Amino acid sequence: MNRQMCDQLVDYFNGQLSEIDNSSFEKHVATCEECQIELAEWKALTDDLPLVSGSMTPPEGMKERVLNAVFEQEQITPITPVALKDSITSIKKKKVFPWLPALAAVLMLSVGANIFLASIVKNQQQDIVAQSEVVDQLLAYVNLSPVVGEASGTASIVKHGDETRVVVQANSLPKLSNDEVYQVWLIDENGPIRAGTFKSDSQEGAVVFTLPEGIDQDWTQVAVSHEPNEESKTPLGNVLMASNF
Amino acid sequence: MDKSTDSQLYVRIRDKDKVALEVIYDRYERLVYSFAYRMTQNAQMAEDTVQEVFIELWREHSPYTEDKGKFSSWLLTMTRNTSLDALRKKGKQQEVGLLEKDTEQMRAPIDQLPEQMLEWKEKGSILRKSLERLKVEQRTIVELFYFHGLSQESISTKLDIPLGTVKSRIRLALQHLRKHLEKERGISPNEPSDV
Ligand SMILES: [Zn+2]
Repeated sequence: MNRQMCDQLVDYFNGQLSEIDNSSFEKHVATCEECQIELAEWKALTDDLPLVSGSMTPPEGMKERVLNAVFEQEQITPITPVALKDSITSIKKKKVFPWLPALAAVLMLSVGANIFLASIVKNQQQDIVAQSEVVDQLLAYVNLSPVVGEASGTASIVKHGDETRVVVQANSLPKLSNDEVYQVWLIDENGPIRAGTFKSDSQEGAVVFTLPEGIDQDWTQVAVSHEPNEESKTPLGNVLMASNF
Repeated sequence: MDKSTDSQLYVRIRDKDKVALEVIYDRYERLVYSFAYRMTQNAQMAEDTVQEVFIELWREHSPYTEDKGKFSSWLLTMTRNTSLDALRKKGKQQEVGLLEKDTEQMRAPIDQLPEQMLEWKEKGSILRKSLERLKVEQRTIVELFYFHGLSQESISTKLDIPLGTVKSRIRLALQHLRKHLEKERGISPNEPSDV
């Protein structure tokens, strides 16, 4: 038995040993029964100690920031934007769509997903910059909550010089068949406007759309729907996920 | 809510299943954050720690296997080490104040919390009571050793006790803590106390 070695147990437990001392202590433990018992005992005795911390409410937006950072280095599965013949169809005022009340109800429930422009944090901005290096300014960033099915994701509106771009990231999208596509809708008081259409074989990925100039930026909601084909000028299929801005 | 076990989810995380990571995140967000906050006593450092822990989990720098014990214990050990690293990097390890008493904080409605939260909450309150029953010197040494992660030497200096006695005092404090815990849990109510 080596008393001096045994006495390093505290510093070993607390990660205070240099790399060399650490590995020689580990060698020591392998042969020192006393240290093995003591270490096992200390681990068992401290196992539940973290629970004294109680349950604190994390800062607002922490989940988004953390998950963005976690997935940051990941390769984004490419999904193909479908070229639109008329990329944006503006809907005139007062036109009512059968799915809107239901969507509105869902959106009311997902108040937690609200992130206002004022609270946009640097991390998210960097995250968007990482996707497209020439981004100038992040105007909005929201989490898309599932409406029908399990799809979820994020949507951002990014100002790039004079251009306004919509970045949608999605996962757990339902499978597409035949001519089916996913469509991104931006909604303001006048109703939904088609921001872009995309397809994905892997049911996940990210896509960037550029909006035509002069498009109103006071969007209140964003939604992604599952459409029978790319021709839908108003949402015909299920709304998969949505969020308020 | 996803009913998969932690181990099942971990297998999916190793297959780069983002949904599984998110389920684990939701399950442990509060616990990891609260513990990191308890360790660093700083909201930003606590959030950075949470981020670091989940990045590690995703990138598998220190993979979990069932022989390492419960997944939750493994995750919390990682949280502790990451918090201590953060404190060391900032040179703040010596500055963190001694907490007189841990307080209960549970503002969110129960149904929004992970299932295990009730169990954690109960264990936590038993632990808090047991810690409070310790003599001040013993509580302080647990605090400096476990929550501040100080070296043997720093503990000796801080408490003005001989270096050679630090380890045995920690051991004694932990053993007393266990006795109080057993009493609180009612496992061995008749065991005589030597405190
Ligand atoms: Zn030994």
